[in-house]
Amino acid sequence: MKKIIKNLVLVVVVTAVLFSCKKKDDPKPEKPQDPNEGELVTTVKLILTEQVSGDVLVFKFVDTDGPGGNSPVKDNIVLDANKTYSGRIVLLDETKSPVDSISNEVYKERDEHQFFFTVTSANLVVSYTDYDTHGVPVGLLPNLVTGNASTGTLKLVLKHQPSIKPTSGMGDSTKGETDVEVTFNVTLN
Amino acid sequence: MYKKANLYFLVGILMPTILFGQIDSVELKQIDVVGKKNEVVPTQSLVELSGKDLDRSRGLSLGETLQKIPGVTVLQTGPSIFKPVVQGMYGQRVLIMNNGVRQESQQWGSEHAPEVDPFIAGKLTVVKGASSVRYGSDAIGGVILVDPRPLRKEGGIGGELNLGAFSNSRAGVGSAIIDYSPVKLPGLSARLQGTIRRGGNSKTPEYYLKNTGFEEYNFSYGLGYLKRKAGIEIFYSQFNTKLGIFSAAHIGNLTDLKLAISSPTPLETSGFSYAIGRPYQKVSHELFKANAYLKTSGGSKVSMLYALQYNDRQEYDKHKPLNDSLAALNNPELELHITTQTAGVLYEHRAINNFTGSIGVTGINQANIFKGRYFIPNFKSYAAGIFIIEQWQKNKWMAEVGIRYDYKWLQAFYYKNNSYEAPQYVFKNISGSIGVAYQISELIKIKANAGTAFRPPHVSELFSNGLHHGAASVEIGDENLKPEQAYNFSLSPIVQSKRFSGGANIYYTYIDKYIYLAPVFPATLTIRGAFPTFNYKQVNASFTGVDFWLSDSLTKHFSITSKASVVYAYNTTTSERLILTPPTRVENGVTYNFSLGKRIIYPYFSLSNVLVLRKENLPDSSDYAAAPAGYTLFNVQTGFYFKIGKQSMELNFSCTNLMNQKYRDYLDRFRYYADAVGRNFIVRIKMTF
Repeated sequence: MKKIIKNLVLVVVVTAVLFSCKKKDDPKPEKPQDPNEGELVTTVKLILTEQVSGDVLVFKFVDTDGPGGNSPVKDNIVLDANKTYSGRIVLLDETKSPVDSISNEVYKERDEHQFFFTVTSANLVVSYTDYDTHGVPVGLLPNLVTGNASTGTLKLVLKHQPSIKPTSGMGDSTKGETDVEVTFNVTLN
Repeated sequence: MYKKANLYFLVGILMPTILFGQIDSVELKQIDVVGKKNEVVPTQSLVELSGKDLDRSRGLSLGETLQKIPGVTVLQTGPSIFKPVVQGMYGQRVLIMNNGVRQESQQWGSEHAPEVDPFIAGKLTVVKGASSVRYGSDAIGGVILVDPRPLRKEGGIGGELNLGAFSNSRAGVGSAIIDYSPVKLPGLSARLQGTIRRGGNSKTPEYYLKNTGFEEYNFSYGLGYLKRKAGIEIFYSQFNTKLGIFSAAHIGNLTDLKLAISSPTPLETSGFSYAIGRPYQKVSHELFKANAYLKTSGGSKVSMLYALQYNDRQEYDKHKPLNDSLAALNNPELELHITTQTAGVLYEHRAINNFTGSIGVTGINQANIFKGRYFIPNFKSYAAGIFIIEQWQKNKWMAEVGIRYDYKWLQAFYYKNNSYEAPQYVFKNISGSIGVAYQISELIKIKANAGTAFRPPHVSELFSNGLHHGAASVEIGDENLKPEQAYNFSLSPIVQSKRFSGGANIYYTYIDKYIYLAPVFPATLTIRGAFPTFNYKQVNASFTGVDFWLSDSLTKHFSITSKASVVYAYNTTTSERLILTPPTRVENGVTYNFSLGKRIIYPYFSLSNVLVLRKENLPDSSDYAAAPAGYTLFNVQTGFYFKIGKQSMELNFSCTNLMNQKYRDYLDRFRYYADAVGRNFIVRIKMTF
C-alpha cells in the first residue's frame, strides 16, 4: 500500500517536471504566413474551337484574390449562330508559380467530379463528350451547338462528389459540394 | 507534442486505475457539506450546480451540463458541439473561469466549444449579468466558474470513479480521480484525474447523422502544500478532442445551402460508425497554473496566481486540396494557435468595523498565430486591470461597491492585397458596480445589482475577411469598431424554507455599440458561386428577461421542480429583434422518493418535461430558414445508492427524449440540415472511495 502511494506521488512529480520542458518551434506573430500558400481556383477558361473553320475562342472568369476583396472579372461569350464548337474547360491557380492547372487534378479524380451546364434563354445546347471510368459524364470537354441569334446565360457548375457520384446514368447535380460555379452572359449572332 | 500528450495520458489514466484495483480496504467517508461560505458575488444572481445534481448529468459536455441552470441555454452545432448561452449572450460575452483562470481559446467562433472537462469540476457556478469589475473585460452576459473540489485535507487516500454509457451515439465515458495526502505530512496533498469519452454517429428518430462521432481524452493533476497561514498549489490540465462535423452540413455556396435546406432529409446519410472522417476539428488545450496565499495575523490575506495556456485548434475541411502533393500533406485547412499568460495579485483586507474588501491587479498577454486559410490574423496583446471592491454588512443589510480600470494594447499582423499591415490599438475603460441585499424575513431575501461591463472588439470582428466555412458565408470585419459598453440591472427575490425554495432573476441589459453581423447585399460573387455576405456593425441593443425556478417537497415522497427562462433581445437602433437568442424555455419535473429495503438506499424516480416555444417576431430575411416549431420533450431518471462490501456506489438510469420526438432547435446551427437527436438511454455508475 505504502509503495503504491509513493509511486503515485512520484508520478505526479515526474509529470510536473516533464511539463516544464519548453516547447520549441513557436513561430512569431509578427511574421504572418504568406497569403498565397493554399490552393485556390482563380481562373476558369472556356476554350472553344469552331468545328468547320478551326477558329479558337477563349472566355475567362478570373478572381485572383479569392473570395471577397476585389470582384471577379468575366468575359461575355459571343458566338456565331448555327455553329458547332468543341470545348475544353481549364481551371487554374494563377497565384502559384508556375501556374497550377487544377483541371488536370479534376481529370485524375474524374470518378468524383462532374460539370453541369445550365443554359437560360439562349439557343444553345451543351452536351458531354467525355466520361469517367464508369461511363458517367465528366464535362471537361463539352460540345456546344448554337441555334438562331439570341441572348442568355450559360452557368457552369463543378460538383465534387467523393464516393457519391453515380456510377451509371448522366449524373446527379444535387449531390456533393460546389467547387466551381460561374455564370457567363451569352450572345449568339 | 501529441506524442508527449499520449504518454501523460497513459500515466494519468492507467496509474489510478491500477491503484484502485490494488486497494483492498478503504474507509468509507460520508462527506456532508455543512455551512455556507460567503457567496462570490453576494448581490448578483448566482446559481450553483454541484453534488447530486452534477452527478446526475455526468458524462456530458460543459455546455450541456450547464443547461440544468435556469437562464442557461446552449448554442449548438450538431450533436457534439455546445456553447453555453447565459441570459441570451454567448461566445466572447460569456467568460469561463476554469479553476480561477480566464479560459482563453478561440471562443469567437460559434462552432467552437469550451475546452473544459466537466469532470474536473466539483462545482459549476453561473454568475449572471455584467461582472467586469471582478472578472475583467468581456463579462457582459455573465461568468461561468468551473471549480474543482478542494484538495484532500485529511491524511489518506481517496477517489472517485465515474462510468457512463449512452445508447444514442453508443458512447462511453470513464473518469477517475484519486486524491492522496500523506498522514505524516499534513498540508501536502496530490491529485490525479483523467477522463476518456468516445462516441459514434448520433441518431435522430429517423436517420443517423453521418460523421458525428467524437473522441476526447483529458487529464489533470494538482499538487498543493496548504497550511492555515500560507499555501502553494500547482495545477495542470490537458483537454484533447477530435470532433466529427456532420457531413451534410459542410456545404459549398448559397445554391448548395438552399438545396440542403429544401431537402426534408439530409443529402448525405449513413449507418452507424465510430469513424471520424473529414470534415472534423481537432482541438487541444493545456493549462498550467501556480498560486499561493499568505494570511497575516490580523486576518488579511494576499493571494498570487500565474497561469499559462496553450490552445491549438485544427479544422479539416471536407475535401483535401485537388493538387496531389498538397493533398498528401493532409494538413488542416485552418490552424490557430494561441498562447496566453495571466497573472494576478489579490489583497483581501481584514474586517474593519462592518467592512470587508479586496484590491486586485491582473495582467494578461497573448499571442495568436494562424496557418492555412486566412480567417483571423496573427496578433499580440497585453492587458492590465486594477480593481477595488468593498462590502459592508450590518444586520439584515449588505451592500457592495466596486470599481475597475482596464487597459488593453493590441497589434495585429496580416497581409491585405499582398501588402503587410500591422495596426495597433489601445482600449481603456472604467467599470463599476453597486449592489444591495436585504433579508426581509427569515425566508425571503432580495438582491438588487447594477453593474457595467466592457468588451473591446475581438480581432475576428476587426479583421476577419473571407469565407467562414462552417457558416458558408463571407464575413468582413471593421477595423474601426469601438468597445462595447454594457449596463446591467438585476433584481432577485429569493425564498428559502426547509420545504420550499424558489426565486427569480429579473434583468435588463443595455449594450451601447453592440457588435453583430449584419447581412449586406448583394452576395459576394466568387469562382465557387455566390456567398451570403455579412459585415460587422455596431448598434445599440437591449436584453430584457426573467429566469425563474422553484422546488417544493410536497410530501415525504413527492417533490416538484419548475424552471423557466424568457429573454427579449432587441436591436434598439432599428427596433428589430436580435436573431440567435434563445426561445422561451420551461422545464417541469416531479420526483418520487421511496424506500426499497435496506440495500437500496434513497431510490428515486423522476419525470421531467422540457417545453421550448417557437422563436417569434424575427425580422424578415434575417435567416436562411424560418425558425423551427416549438417542441416538448419528456425525460425520465431513476437511481439509488448501494454498497458492495464497504464500497459506496451510485447507479442511475435515465432516458432523454423518451417519446423519440422529431424536432429541430432554433439555436442548433445544423437545424437547416437535419433533425435533433432522438431517444437516448443513459446508465451512470459512480464509485466513491
